[in-house]
Amino acid sequence: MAEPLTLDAPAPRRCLDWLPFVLPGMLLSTWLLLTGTGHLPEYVLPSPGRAVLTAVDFVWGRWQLNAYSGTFLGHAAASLQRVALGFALAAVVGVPCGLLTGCSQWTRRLLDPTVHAVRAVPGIGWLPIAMVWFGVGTRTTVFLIALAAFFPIYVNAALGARSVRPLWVRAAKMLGASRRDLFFTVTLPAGLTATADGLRLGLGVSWAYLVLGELTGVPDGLGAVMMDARMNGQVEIILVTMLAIAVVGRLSDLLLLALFRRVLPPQPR
Amino acid sequence: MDPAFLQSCHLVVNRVSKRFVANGESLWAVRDLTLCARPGEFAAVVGPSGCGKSTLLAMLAGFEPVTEGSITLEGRPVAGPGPDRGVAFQEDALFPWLTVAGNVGYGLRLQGRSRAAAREEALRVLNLVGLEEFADYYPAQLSGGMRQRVALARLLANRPRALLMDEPFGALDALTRMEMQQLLLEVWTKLNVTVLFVTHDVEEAIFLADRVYVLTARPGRVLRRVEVDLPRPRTPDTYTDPALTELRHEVLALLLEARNPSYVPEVVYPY
Repeated sequence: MAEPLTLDAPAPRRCLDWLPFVLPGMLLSTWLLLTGTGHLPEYVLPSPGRAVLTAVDFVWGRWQLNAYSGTFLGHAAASLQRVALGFALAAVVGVPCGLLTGCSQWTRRLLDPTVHAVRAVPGIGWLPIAMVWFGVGTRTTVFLIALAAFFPIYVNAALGARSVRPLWVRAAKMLGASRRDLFFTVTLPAGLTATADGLRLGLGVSWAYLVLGELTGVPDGLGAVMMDARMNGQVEIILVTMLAIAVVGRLSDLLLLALFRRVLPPQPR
Repeated sequence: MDPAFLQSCHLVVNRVSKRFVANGESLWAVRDLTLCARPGEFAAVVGPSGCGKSTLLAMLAGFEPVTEGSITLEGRPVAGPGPDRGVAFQEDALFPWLTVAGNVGYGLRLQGRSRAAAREEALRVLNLVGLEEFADYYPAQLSGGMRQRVALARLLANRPRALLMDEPFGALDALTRMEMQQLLLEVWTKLNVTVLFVTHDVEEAIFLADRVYVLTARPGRVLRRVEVDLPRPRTPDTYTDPALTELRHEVLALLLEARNPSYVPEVVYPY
């Protein structure tokens, strides 16, 4: 019997795609070459081997290579706590405000101009005044995260609520929906996809502002380790913390995505 | 028309006018339009495009206010959209984030029924339109014809006093369209609900309805009320009934005549 004709996508390739690995491979070889031949001293760029050892030691503390040995979990926990708190604040305020702005002219006129005026000040520009208000430390960091993450969350939630088709609104009203029903049964689910995108962006921004907040002098946290290591001349620790932030940030993003997959309808439009 | 007929009607559109203001100009979309429907009757409205058919339906549904005149259902004036009047739209208006059963049970949930009760009732209504086994599908997984059936089931679940249908089968292919017409007639017979069916398709109007209101071009007014006394139940054979063909010619001639700009219609009032 002949093979049935299908218009499906071609079967997934069995062998690994090598192309994405070319650039990292080249970078790594350059790194090895530069440090191995002694062109760059260790205090500017440590060798890859040393970086890996430091990373392992930073997490497990096997070899007691430096003062940061085995402290990863403590610092990561401190950072995560700040991100979680700041991001939660931003989401709790940003999602309802954004959705209301998107579906009600009145809220839009009330909120939108002010929000966008405040948004014109770059997040970093809030650092000095935050230090005056909240002092150096965790509260400033959480404030900066909440403020910076609020904007993408708000803007995208508003976009989601505005993407509601007028026909859905008519259909819901015709089936007996009150204004309140309309918000919870149409605006909210229809705007959920865009809101979820906003939350992801907000989480990314949270990690950026975490580092900014922690650079200013908190005793713990991944950003604090970075700054501390710079003063102690531990370049490899700076690199390892950068990597750690990337990994933890990506993990939190994946966690959020997994959460959305449970909540969002399987057939988004 | 006689007062006895009016007395027997429960959906009454009484000398309704609708004016739109666009680009600083005011425009009458509907002028002095009067029509009515008896309980359990199937009434159709046909007219040239732009005659205000959809505007009329939007006013009946309560989406648009009337400029002049009044609309009443069972003596109560229509003051906004409500579950006593189910509206079938031209376009697909299902909620894509809800399953078929979720869409059909939506109105019941709004009335405060429990999730289980709403689902049970939704399944019962879905059975009526032959889609019970698709209860847990999402609208995007269904064909256009199936989506229209779900839309119909969603209306019926609310047990409306009247169904207002705005060219609901316009986007369907000829065969699916015939199936939907049959299904609509079956459901209408079973549930004994008043239907006001707006279409530009003269044959469809005659095939479905007990009486057809022919509208003039803008501003829309009732040009003639045509009684359709084809036997029921109407079947695919009805399409070839000479009586249907005759009525179709009559209505088409009316519509052609009404297109003439110098033509002054003799507007019909039921009283």
